[in-house]
Amino acid sequence: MNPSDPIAALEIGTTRTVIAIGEPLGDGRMRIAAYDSIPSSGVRKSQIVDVAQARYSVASVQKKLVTQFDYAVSQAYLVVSGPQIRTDQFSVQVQLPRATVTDEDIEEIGERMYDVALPQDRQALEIARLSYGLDDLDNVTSPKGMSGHLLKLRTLCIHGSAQRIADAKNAADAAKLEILDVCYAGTSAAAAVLTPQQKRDGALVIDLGGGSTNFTAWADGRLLYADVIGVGGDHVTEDIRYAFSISLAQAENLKNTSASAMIGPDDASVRIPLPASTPGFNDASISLRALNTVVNARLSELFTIIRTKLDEVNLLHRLNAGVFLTGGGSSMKNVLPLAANVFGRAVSIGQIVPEIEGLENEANPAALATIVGTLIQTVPAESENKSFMDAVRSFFGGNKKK
Amino acid sequence: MNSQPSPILLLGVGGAGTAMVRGILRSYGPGIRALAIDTDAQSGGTGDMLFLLLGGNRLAGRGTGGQPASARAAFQDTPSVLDSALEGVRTVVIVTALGGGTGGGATGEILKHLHTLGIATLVFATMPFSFEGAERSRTARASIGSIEQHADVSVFLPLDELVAGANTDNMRDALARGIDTMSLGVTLLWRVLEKPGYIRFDPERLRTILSGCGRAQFATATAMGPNRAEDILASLSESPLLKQDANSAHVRTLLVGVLAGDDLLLSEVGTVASGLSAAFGLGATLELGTVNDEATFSGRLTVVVLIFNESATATKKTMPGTVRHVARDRAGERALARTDRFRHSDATMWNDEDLDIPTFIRRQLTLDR
Repeated sequence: MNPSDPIAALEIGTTRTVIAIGEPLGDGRMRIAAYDSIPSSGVRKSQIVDVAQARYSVASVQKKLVTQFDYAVSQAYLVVSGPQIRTDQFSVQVQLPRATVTDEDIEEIGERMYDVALPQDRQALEIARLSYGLDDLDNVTSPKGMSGHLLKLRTLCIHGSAQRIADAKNAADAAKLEILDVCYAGTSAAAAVLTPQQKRDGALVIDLGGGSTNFTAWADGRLLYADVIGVGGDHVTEDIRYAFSISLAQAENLKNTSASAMIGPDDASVRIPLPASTPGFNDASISLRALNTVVNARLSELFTIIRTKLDEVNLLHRLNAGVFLTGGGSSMKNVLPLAANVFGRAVSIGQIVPEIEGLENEANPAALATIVGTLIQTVPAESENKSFMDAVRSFFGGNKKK
Repeated sequence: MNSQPSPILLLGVGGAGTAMVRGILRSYGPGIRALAIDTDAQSGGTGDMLFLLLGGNRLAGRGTGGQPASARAAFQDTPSVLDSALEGVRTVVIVTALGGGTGGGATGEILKHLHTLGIATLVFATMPFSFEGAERSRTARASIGSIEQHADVSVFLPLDELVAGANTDNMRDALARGIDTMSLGVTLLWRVLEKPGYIRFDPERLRTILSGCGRAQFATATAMGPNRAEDILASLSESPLLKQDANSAHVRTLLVGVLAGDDLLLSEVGTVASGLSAAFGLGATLELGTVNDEATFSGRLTVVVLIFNESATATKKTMPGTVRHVARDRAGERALARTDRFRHSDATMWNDEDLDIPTFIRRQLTLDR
């Protein structure tokens, strides 16, 4: 592939199927040349439950890109998420032949970190360096030049179900779209919105997707934690539908136009009209307070689970750059103050990094963070793009899987 | 005496689990059908019990190096490794320690396999001492989810609390005391089934009690003297093992074993039963068995309690062949709430709650109409 060739990324999400095309510009920049989507079919909780329907969604987006942007996409990188994603920590070690850590030793242990013993039905998506150890000394930041006999490296492996990933690949294959590689949505979202400084200061990126919520925590310039909760915007819609016995379309509309993540003091006095969805039935109305109670309960719970998980690994206090929300759910009214209440940190919508052009007219670029971040991660490492790849490699500390 | 092999199997998983089985067999004596499985060939060592090596091809009998994923993979390589030892088994009681590799990694996979065979499972898993560090604790906590997902009953016992009050003991005695305490809980099932007693269970009744109960708490107390029943109630009320999640759920069922010698009084059984019912809510079902074992408990009264909470969701998967519609029976609205959009998806579980059920229902929030 030529370094300046356009690159495509595919996301078969619970809510929508998206393909985006990026054109590397050199000097660490990229232009999003085209992107389009259609509502997904056959996907639940970010996992494909009907390959034929998912194939149809992929093929439909491909067709739109041809007719509207003149891009025929035949290869793409796939971004995956969902509760099938898990993380495990591993450790590798090498004996030091010279009793002092050299670049060669660090390179050797860096090669060995990819030898993770995953079950056959799991597929590694990312492997990140967590910390080094030297003999009995743990949490060594930079071991080069230190004396010792045994160099150790603790790693974080993000892995997914090989079968669920194969389902997505099969849907793409059936639409004649070759999958070049697979990326994890959580690290992709972070790649799209975090600067190197924010990674150093400590940041949490929460991607609020339709079927699941992916989150990654960063500090000291490294990925330290990643997790997925199988709860997303679909759950909010379903809660509303269930609470008021309305159609899914009505619930989705209420979520997008009227609902708030916080309960306001005047909500009790406001009623929202619900036009009858079927002729012959009477119009109805619901209480805004009731609607917001349903939404607030769901999102408070989601953020509290994330907070609890970060507390358990002692990371919450390290988020000095703050919390960044991405994904479709980040546009929910009052989601920022709710998250700020739960995390006790500054919370903002993730801003796409300035090296990316072409999204100036997008109303909510953070909703595209996973697919844009996938493009960022997959720019070919050719000389003319060296500075861009340097930035990418620096971002991941060299942790993109082999 | 029934000559058929016992329908209950005690299974130790991992090095610590194997050691626990050894300790339990020593303290209980003959009569327990037991097996241990580990990735480290040295655990089988003395040949005093049935032992299976896990992951022979993958790990060459050298253990996992503390990596749960290796043990998980090892069992997934050969999930039928246990099957030959399961003939006639209806219930498996697993003992293990979380925080290391094999116990934390293989237990969830073993449970998943046993579930597919229709075997009821009860897990006693110890959590690391706090002094063992945050990393080991985190590894242990990470294993809880898969165990809870697939076990019918899971009991997590923090070692700190299992040996509470043993600060002045030396390390060996403290650990031995902890194993003894746990043994009483683990062997409760064998005692109420197989030892002589005035009120006994049959295996199927026990299996029904255990099916899909979720997380349980466990405590034991022993007393002597004329007021021993009252003293036991006082001890149980102060047990640190009963303080976990004390306010998070309602007690649904109490499985109580009253273990004593020939001097057990009817009034003592009544005192224990009525005291526990009063303490844990009169709505809770009390399943009580007595064991008459003069040789072991002469002059002593020991009470072992397993407490099954009513989970907030009650949607835990039930065993094949059992008929339980707890959600519908007890909270029909909750069951219906899950039956629509996410009906065909795996449940998203967190702390025993099914997150696919609307939060406002699980929190019992009232909505303005």
